[in-house]
Amino acid sequence: MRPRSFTGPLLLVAIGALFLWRNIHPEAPVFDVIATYWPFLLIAWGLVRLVEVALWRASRSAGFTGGEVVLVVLICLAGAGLFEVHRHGIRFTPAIFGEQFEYPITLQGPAAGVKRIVFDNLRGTIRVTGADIQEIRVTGHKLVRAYTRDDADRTNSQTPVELVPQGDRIVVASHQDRAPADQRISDDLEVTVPRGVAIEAAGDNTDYEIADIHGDVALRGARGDARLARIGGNVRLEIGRSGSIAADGVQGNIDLEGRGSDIEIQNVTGQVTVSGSYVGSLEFKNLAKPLRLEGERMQVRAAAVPGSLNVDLGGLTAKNLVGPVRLVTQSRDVHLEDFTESLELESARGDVEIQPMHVPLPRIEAHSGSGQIELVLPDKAAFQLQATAERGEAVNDFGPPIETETNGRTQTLKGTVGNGPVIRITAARGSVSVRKEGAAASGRIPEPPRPPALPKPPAPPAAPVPPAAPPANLKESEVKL
Amino acid sequence: MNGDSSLLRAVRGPIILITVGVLFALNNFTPYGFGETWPVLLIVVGLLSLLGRGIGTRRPSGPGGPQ
Repeated sequence: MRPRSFTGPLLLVAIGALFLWRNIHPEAPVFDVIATYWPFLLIAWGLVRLVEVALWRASRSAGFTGGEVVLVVLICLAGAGLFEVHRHGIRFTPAIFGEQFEYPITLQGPAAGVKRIVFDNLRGTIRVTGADIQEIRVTGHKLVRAYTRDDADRTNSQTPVELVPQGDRIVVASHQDRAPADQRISDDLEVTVPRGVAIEAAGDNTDYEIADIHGDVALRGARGDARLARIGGNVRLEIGRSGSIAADGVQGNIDLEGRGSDIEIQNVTGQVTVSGSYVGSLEFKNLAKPLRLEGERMQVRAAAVPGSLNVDLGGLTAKNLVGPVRLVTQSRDVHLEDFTESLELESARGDVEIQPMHVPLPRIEAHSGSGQIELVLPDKAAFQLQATAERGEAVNDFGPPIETETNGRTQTLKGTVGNGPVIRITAARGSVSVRKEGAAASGRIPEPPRPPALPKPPAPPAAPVPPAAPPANLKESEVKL
Repeated sequence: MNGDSSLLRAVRGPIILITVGVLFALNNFTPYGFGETWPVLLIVVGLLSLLGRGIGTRRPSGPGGPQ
């Protein structure tokens, strides 16, 4: 009989010791230690086995059992996973342990003549509302996560929320940086300020809700959401990672920069500029001045958006835009309806449907890499058309003035009606088709049957393009600005 | 059963285990990630089996062939 190995009992002792340590000193970063030092467990285990081999002359000592091998593999997987999580800045101790204590906040101060209110809140929520008052009122509560009430009380007294007047501005200071590293503190503030002020805030992880302010609003932060309503001045948002950004009724310009998910911007009198990567659903409605979206995979420019522009997993849909319109997309179906002046469209992948609706027609220059292009023209339109399907079919449902030319694998539709703008359409792989508004598409297209007229359903798949919408392949269909 | 080859079989597991531990420790404490250093494991396993073969040929009387 081979003597049983020491490793099992030793492992048990080690695990017990670790949990005892964590229970006695809950603030100790036990999990972080495990995440970093776990490989030494394997080394120690191997050494113990070596010693055993030496002691017992290896006479009966067998290799590892299957169970031990499985255990080692599990330890490796769990340890590597823990370490990765640890390396990306996630700490286990403060978030999981401790208790939450709540402290009320009430303060107010005079704010006559004050032009700016500045928040240095690091973490929490800030809700600012403008009112016809000459002072600033702050209510809300502070949450402190700590191990004992004494700790929390001490932290609370070290981190008072204060109103600090500085010239023509008031700083709402939260002093969160004074809290010890093993405690977590967040302030949820409801602030009422004179309507005319400007709001500035910098936060680490802060959600903002700001309404009825006549001045400018500038918010910065690593992460957080923002919801703005009825703002008189310019809005500037730089939020590293946001879940949702919403703005309704802004008189000035909106500048939005960062990464995130959803955007909803409507009723804006000034310019709207969005740069960064937003992967959720984007909605723009009733913008009186130019809209600019600058993303890694999508660029949009329009002189104004009296109608709407939506981007989501289904594609990009725009109705009633003031041109010149410029649109560059990577992989997304595009449906453009009712726009003026001119259109410049560049689509790498995805189906495109263009419907100008009104005469005189805008100038149109559209190019698609792979995916079909469908052009729907009004009955009395005047235009000079050249639509080319470089390796596909060109379908003329418009009628006699337009002729089809075939040259090898390339088919081109050409025609001039009256004295109108130039319409140039090219599909590198995929068909092009032109038809009259209200007329049914002909059955000559090999793709699935299309319904007669607008509105178009979420895009029938074109031959070489992978299905547009199914979220199964998120990498491809993900909406990415 | 010859002593040398069974000794080798006994130490093989612990040595591989220690190698894995060292590689992960390097991964955690040095810039050399496990993704780069894993071929060391193949080398160690290869060397161990080479050793076993060497013992096997030195003592042809033993069973020592492939396991």
